[in-house]
Amino acid sequence: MERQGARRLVLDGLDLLALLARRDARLVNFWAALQQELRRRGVTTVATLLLPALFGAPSTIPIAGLDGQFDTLLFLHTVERHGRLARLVSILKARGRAADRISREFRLTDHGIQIAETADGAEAAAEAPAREGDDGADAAGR
Amino acid sequence: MSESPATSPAPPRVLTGIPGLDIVLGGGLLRGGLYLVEGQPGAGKTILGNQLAFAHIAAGGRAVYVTLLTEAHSRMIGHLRPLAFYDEAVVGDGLVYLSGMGPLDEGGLPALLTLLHTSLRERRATLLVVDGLAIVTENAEAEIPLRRFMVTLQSYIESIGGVALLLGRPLAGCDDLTYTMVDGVLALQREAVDVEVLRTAEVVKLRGSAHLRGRHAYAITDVGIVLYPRTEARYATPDPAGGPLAPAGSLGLPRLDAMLGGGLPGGAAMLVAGGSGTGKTSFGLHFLDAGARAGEAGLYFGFGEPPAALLAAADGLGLTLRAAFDRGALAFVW
Repeated sequence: MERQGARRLVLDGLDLLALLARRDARLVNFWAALQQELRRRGVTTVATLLLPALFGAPSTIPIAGLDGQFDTLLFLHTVERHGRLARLVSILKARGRAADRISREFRLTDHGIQIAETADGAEAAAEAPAREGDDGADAAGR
Repeated sequence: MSESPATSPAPPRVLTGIPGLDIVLGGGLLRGGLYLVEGQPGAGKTILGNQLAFAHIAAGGRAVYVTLLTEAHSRMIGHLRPLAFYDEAVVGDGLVYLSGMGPLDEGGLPALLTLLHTSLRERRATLLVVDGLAIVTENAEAEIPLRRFMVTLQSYIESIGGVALLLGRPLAGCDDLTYTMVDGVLALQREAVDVEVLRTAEVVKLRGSAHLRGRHAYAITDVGIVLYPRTEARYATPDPAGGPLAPAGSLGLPRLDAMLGGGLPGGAAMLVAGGSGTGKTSFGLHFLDAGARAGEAGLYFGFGEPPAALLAAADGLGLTLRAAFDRGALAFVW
């Protein structure tokens, strides 16, 4: 981090780091210490964590105490809707801020992630011009 | 531990120069101290002893390395030569290798002590390494001669304001007389984790100094021994201020920024949790992309996907991370 002078860090795969730490409590302590140093240096961090559920909403973070270490908790999950798999994004926690409590559908497109206005994909791709070849969820909103 | 009465204003600490070890020791070894490094054969004791000796010389000191083992010096040096710290130029001058076997066979521990004392004085050395402590213990036969040996050695070291390192196999434990006599013990251990072996170093005892407790991973590399102090032990003290947060930055997704009430505050941490294939990494790539556009350098630290695959994924999302990578504003560690 210091060599790069980085201001932003992505740590992709806390679940894999947990395997290295071998004990959940150690990962939480490690993360707490690391996070404190990053904050002191003004580095903003996004970490990813794989949840075991393939579908729907798992009700727990598999590493006890880990969620408490984050200011913001973003939750991504897959739902099946009329035979189509849709991705939803929800904010579970945003410490000290008034966050939106609506789950929204999003899609990965060649114009980046497109987040819809609602959970059922209405107004999808509002952030980017519509493109041919986009799937039905896009058309439904227009 | 009392300091040497010497009037020289020498700092009370001797840095080991071994990456990570001085942090674990709370700032190095204390002058006048007798330290034990214990570990099974292959743990890297001899490398550690030599690494410390070369670092000591590089810092302006002088060292005597006494072996009590059968291994010939030429063989030992052959193993050390490829390591980055080895410096042929100082061998025989700042650093001398001596064998203690002859004196020990002829005159026992008193003869060995004479050798140590004489060589320290003649070489004006401030570091002594004794490799093969088990041989000393075997020759002691009873506790009293061993205690006398330790006390005498300690007084030599204290009088010159130096440091002595004894290298040996693991002792029976804290009840062992040697443990009681020395000022500090560094235990090099091997731990089997499934089929892998993890090397760890632990400061079991350290007089007169706070240190980082617990086992710290270490590796034997081409620059010698490198210790990795456990992050959670190193930064264990919570920051009461918690660190002020800087103004918020964009996550690269205007709608998500709005959902969060205006992006992510600088210095904050966000967890993106989700099932397989939900796009967690893509959110991370957007975050780095927005940073790069705002002139903030970024680092991606991952475990699976190589940089080429990530850059291709970013290209596929229409992000300009490749350009940021090319101009050095983005780095990957994986």
